[in-house]
Amino acid sequence: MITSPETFVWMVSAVVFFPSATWLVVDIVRLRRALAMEEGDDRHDRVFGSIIGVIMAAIGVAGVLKFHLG
Amino acid sequence: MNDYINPANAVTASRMLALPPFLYCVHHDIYQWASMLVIACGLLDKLDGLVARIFNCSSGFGELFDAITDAICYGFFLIVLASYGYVPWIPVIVIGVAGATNSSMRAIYVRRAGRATNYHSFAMERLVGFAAFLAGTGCNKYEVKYFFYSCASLMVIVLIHDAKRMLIDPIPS
Repeated sequence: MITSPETFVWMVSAVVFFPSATWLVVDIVRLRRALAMEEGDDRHDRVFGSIIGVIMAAIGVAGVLKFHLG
Repeated sequence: MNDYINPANAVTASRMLALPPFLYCVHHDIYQWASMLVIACGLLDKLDGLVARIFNCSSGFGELFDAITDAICYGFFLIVLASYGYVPWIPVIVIGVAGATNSSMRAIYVRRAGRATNYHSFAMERLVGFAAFLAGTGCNKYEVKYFFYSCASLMVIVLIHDAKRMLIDPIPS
């Protein structure tokens, strides 16, 4: 054992929550930039990738909240 | 610098050293150390790109080797966790099949277009990163069903998008 199970769960929560929250902000900014681009394949791909990134990050944040509050 | 034997590829290869102790930890239910090995593997995944830039040793082989190592490491983690009942099999199978199908489509695209994919969604690459989180949460039985089924659903969506992009849409100039 590295630490107590309770402490380790909080470490896991931190490791999931903080990167997910950061990723959420970064991908929202990327999505806004992509939406401002001119029409074309590149815009479509960047919008799609950013939307997937936003959803993944939201899943991470919501998962931590679900674990502790749900 | 040699395309095959260089510092970046050494870092990539070192990730596989985490696999035997990971199996040992899961077998003996030492889940905290299993999580640490997953985190170490994920951090080394980020480090190899940095090492490649510092030593100026990026290569096509290095990129391929990195992708193969991702598949081996994260696939191994998920299969071991499913085998020992930490995580459900169904999303692990969906994730594995989606990853393998995407790789096959990329191979078809290379033959069709004469080059690797040049579109910029990077959605599947993001999901591979998410797989590292999945392995970490799986070790701790941390909202496992929620995370695994969410990731499997996203993978199916990305697979459908990438299939249209690689197999149906015209090749961009």
